Amino acid sequence: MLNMDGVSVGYGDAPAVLTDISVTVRPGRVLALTGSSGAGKTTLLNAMAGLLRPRDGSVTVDGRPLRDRDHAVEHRIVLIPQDNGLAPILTAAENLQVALVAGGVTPPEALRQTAAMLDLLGLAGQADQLVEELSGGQQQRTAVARGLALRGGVLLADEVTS
Amino acid sequence: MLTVIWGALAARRAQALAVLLLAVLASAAAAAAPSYVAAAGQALARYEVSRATPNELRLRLADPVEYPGVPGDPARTPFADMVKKLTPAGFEVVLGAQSGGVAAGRDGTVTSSLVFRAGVCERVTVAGACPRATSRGQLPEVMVGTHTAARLGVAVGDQFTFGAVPVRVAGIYQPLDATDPFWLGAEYIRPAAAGPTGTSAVGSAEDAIFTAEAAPLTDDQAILYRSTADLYVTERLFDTRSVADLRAAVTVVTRDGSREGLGGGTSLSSLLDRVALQRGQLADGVTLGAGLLVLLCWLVLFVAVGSAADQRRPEQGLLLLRGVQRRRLWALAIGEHAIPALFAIPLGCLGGLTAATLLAAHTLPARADVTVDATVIGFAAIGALGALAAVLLTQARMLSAPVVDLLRRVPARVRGWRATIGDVVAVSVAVAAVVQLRSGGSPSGLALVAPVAGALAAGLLLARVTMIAGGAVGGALLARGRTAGGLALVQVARQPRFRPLIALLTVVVAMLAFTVATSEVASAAYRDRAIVEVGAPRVVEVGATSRSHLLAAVRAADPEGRFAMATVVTGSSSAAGTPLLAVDSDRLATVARPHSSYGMSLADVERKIRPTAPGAPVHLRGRLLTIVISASFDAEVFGGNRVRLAVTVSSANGTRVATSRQDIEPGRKGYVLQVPECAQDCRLVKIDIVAPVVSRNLEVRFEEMRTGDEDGEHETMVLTGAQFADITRWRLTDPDDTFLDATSGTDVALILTVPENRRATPAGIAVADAPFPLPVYLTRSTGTPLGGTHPYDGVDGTPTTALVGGVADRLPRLGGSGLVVDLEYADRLAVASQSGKEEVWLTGTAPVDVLDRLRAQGLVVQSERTITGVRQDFDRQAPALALRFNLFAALAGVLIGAAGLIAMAAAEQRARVAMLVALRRQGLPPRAVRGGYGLPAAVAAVSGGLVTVVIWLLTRSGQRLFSDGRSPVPLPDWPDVGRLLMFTMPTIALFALTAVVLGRVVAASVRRRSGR
Amino acid sequence: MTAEPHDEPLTLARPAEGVAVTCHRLIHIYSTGTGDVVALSGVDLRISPGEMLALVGPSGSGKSTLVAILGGLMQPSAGRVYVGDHELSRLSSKGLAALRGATIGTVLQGAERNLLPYVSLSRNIWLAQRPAARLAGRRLDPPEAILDLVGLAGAGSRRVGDLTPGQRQRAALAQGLAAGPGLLLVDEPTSQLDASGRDEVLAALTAVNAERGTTVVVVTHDGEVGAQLGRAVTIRDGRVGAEGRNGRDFAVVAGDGTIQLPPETVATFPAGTLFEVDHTDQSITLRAVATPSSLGGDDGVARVGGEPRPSGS
Repeated sequence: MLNMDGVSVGYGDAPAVLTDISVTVRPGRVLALTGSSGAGKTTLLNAMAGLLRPRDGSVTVDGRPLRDRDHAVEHRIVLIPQDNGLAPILTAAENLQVALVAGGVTPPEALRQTAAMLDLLGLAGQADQLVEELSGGQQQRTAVARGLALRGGVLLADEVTS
Repeated sequence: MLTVIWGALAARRAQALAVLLLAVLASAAAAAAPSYVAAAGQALARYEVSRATPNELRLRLADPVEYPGVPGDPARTPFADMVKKLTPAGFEVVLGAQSGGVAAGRDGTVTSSLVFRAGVCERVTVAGACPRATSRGQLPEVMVGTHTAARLGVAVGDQFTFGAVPVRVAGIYQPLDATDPFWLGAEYIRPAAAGPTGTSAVGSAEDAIFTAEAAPLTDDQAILYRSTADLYVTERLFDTRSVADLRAAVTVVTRDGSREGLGGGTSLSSLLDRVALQRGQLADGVTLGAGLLVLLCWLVLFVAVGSAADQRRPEQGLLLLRGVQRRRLWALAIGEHAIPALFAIPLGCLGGLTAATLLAAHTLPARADVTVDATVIGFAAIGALGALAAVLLTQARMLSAPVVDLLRRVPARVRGWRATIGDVVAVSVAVAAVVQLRSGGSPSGLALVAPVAGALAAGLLLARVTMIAGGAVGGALLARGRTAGGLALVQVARQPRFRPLIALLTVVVAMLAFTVATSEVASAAYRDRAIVEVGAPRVVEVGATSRSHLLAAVRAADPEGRFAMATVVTGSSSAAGTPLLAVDSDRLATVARPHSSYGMSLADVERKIRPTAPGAPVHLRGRLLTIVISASFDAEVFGGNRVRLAVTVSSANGTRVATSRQDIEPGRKGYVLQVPECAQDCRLVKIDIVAPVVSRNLEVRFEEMRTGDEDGEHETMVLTGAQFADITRWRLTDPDDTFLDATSGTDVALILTVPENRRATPAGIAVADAPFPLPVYLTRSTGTPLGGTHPYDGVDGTPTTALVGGVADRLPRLGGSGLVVDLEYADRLAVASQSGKEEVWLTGTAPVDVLDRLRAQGLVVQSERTITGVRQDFDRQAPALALRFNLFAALAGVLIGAAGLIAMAAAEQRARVAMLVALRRQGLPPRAVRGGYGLPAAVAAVSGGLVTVVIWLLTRSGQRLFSDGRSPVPLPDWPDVGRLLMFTMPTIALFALTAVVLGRVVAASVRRRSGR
Repeated sequence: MTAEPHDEPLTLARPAEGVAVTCHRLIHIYSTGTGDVVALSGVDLRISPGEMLALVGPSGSGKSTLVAILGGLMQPSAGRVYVGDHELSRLSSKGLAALRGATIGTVLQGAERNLLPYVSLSRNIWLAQRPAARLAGRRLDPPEAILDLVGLAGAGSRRVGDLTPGQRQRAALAQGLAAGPGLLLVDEPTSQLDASGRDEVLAALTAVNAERGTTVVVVTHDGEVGAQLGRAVTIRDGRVGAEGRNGRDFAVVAGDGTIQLPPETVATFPAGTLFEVDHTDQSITLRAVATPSSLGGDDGVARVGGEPRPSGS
């Protein structure tokens, strides 16, 4: 369970993008975050994912404060960034494989899960193509496949349908 | 348009700066070569001038007309005017006049020459004064040499006559430096003759007698002189004018001179040819290093700018989208890059000159200046323009791509033939170059850069293999969960721009190893050749009166045989003959330097060529020699055909044949022969019966031999009948056609029977004091096997045969073809005097005064060579200088390679860090963050090693090590691996270190951006 | 395309109004590393001069390819496309470049991609005008006038990096308009903007269309934009599937007589479904008769007239 309590967050020395935000993410629920561009949606997701340290307030996971992204990864908080966050020089399958293995899945099992997830998203034919050679839509689906394959406790998806 | 270009330059400052720096590098590399070649060319000219014989340094013009009087200064004569007209700029002129004649003094006469030579007084020390001009009524003044004064018996102030003209001795001179070209070698200062006692004063009695201006003589015909002019080249001349220029000037002078009737001669052309040859070889050799440097610079530029070129893609696409013509796009691209390239030319000139100056100061034997000239600027321009071309090449693909491709956010990968065209071109060039090199002859053009071309082609191919293999292995590692290794490999293998970088690093390592290996082999080859060609640590060329004089003198100077050995070396008169080395063999192993290429041990040679003598020599002492002979032959039948007695004796002054005045007549008689040289001591060589036509059998009995003096005093019995009759003492000179017998009893005698025949050679008996045929050590190249007989020209030049006692691959001093005999035995067998060069071989441990000791024994020291000196000479020749430049170029290449690696990393930094940060955010552990630059460094090491071996095997035979291209010793096949590693290990370590540092930089950047 | 490509003579007078665009059975196939992709499988489209049109469709539908062809960036594999009086498939690359310089203006997705960042806006517009400036009889507006047209009056000396997102998008528009083209193609101008920014851009586009009569085609996935522009054409699977005009949605008959089923019905009636067809003068009724157990294609194309297709072909 992910909790944000009176969090203010900003980039560098710039003024805070979000002020005094409190959010509770309950298990098994889908939370949609909408707002106009520049409102701070991505900032909020980044703070939840552990990429941004809050200036005020705290972000807690299962009761414990969130330290950084690696801590968030340990707590299985999966992030699908707005720009997809894929490695262009790896194939679609390798992007998933690397993330799965880093998450502790055994390599043969990771291969199986990768193939299954890519198939699910209609990317079976693109699995061995370098990401940089895929179309924008295919890249987006690859990022989503990775996010889903990681089977995190919390999945944060930033503008995945645009 | 300019605003746009300026804006682009300002926006892409970093890239413009990178292009500028790398173009400067390319330009400097291109400019360094011609600067070095020019400077080294000067040094080579100076070196050749210092080694040239005097005749090669000057051109002589002589007046055809003879004038009466004492030779004087021709400066104001028409001859001098003509010479001044003909002399090319820069030549130094020494005017003179000379006249030959006989000088007669109180104690003796000498045939000499009376010479006026401008500038002689500055080059001598004079006891007395230099001759001054005299006027009518005064005696002409002259100065004579020390030996001349002694021979004539005059001192300062005395008179003597020259050609019946009385002259006064104003001074006795000694030349300050007899080796100064002013003295023209032996023309004015004659070399001293060897004699029983030596002297250290230079010159001989025949030295020139120098005069000053004198008034006309009363007798016009007493002395006639001829004016001469010597036109000297100087070092400065070689600095300022090209060899072709000088050759043309010499041709013009010779032609015009002979048209005016001026005689003369010169060997100047051989000096000019040598200098031109050396300079040509230097330029050829340096082409390799220069080509390597320029290629590396262009490659680095291609690699460094390639990544940044992608920044221009969107702009290009945009402009094409708007319909801007491709012509204008090219103009914009060229404009943006040409500006740094143009600035690079002058900066490159400066850089190249600096580098060449530093290198010249360190490597050239003589001082040389490095200056700017048109060639240097031209090459710098080529370097910079090539750099510009390399940059434009990276853009070329982009500038001709379809609009759609350019507008894609990620560039499409190059597929199909375009990706391999570079490889195809490189391989074709390499194959052409290697084929040209191996087809023999002097390498030129493409063949000179064959190693570089081969390394580049092999490097590109191996890089391609690396990319494919790296991609496959990386993918497999990633599938297996080894993320760190897989990522590191894949980051490089799937980025096509790394391929030229890997090729670049491979070329750097391979060419470094190649040049080091070539230098190593050259060093070894110089050492080997010096040892074999010289023979012993010090070899002194001497003059002696005879072989026995030489032997005796050296033995007296070094009785224990610890440091000196007498040697005679002869060439061969016929082309097919075998050169000869005659040595005092019990010192051979001590003095001569052993070498593995000889294929034998010197101790073995010693033993084999000096077995025990079959008999003792026969010594004579006395001015008259009497031989008692009983001859029986039919004088009537012989008719007018004479039978004569000849005796060959060998003394300190040489070997001579003495003939008795009386012909041999039937009956018993004592025949007298004049042998004045045997007054001290001499040795009997042989006794000949000279009868060209033997009408009927001729029998000669030798019954007695006596020596004595002119006045019949000191009669000594040399050989009694019984001693004569000892057949073992004698050897027939013609064993096939003459017969030897001995009688015993009261008329004990030696009987020589000569059957009837026409005889071309005399019949006779030789003293058997040396083994015949003489055992020799022979080189394998002559083809005669061990135990066979081999015909050769003896140490006196007469043909004889030898018994092959041993076979060697090579011999000291003679190299691959020749034979070595014992000097003493060879001298005993010799029937004629001097032939060949007399030398004294010394070890490095010879005492300091050894030359004085030799002189004290009456030897004349002429010149000296050392193994070290000859080896240093090889190091000063053009091929060695070129090798040094190439080594410097290869070392500079290492820095260029490292710069390329850094430039690539800088260009890739942003994309790489972004990717790693994105992966980190998906859970990639920090320890899996690698720079991946270790792969290029590792591949460079391995590929570099492989490629070195390949190009070594293919091209090393085409690398010139010696100026004359030959060595009697085979060149080593492989260099010393230790030295090779000493250079290549630090290079690879440098690349590895760079890779590690770059990886750390990436990791740090990722850490910073990931917050941990 | 049977004729050889050639250069169109450049006697392009300044169009007083926008140009018409017609696509007839446009097909485009391109190869990737792993095979060929059919991007457009027969597009028929008519745009009147001065019309404003939204082009919508999911990613991978082929709309980027269509825009690239309409923009004169590449030749289609088959079919014909007319922009004004020029048939694009008969032009050489030089001819296409000339057309791009004078008649067609494209605004790429992502405002910054349309401008050189290191020179001013006026200089950018000047550079874009160079090709058209060489044409005889062509009158070009000064850069300030064009900036004024899009609502950026006085910003000529500034650089793109100094502008707000909405201003940047309008500056990109100005680039597309630099040479006074008859056809303006704009790719996703509002995706990165908030509501006010979007309104600015739409106002500018409308102004351009009103004042110059330029034909405007806007690629977008924003339904609001489609509604504001009046006509929206949907591209699906490489062909025109549907159109919306003034809020009403229509299916469109393609040149070969095919119609695409509305997307929401494709799942209900998969490929291979057999319909009985009844038609009158005003309508056609399709009654599903048999639904196959295995799927063939998934484009849900139904034949209007002619035999039902056997399944699996």
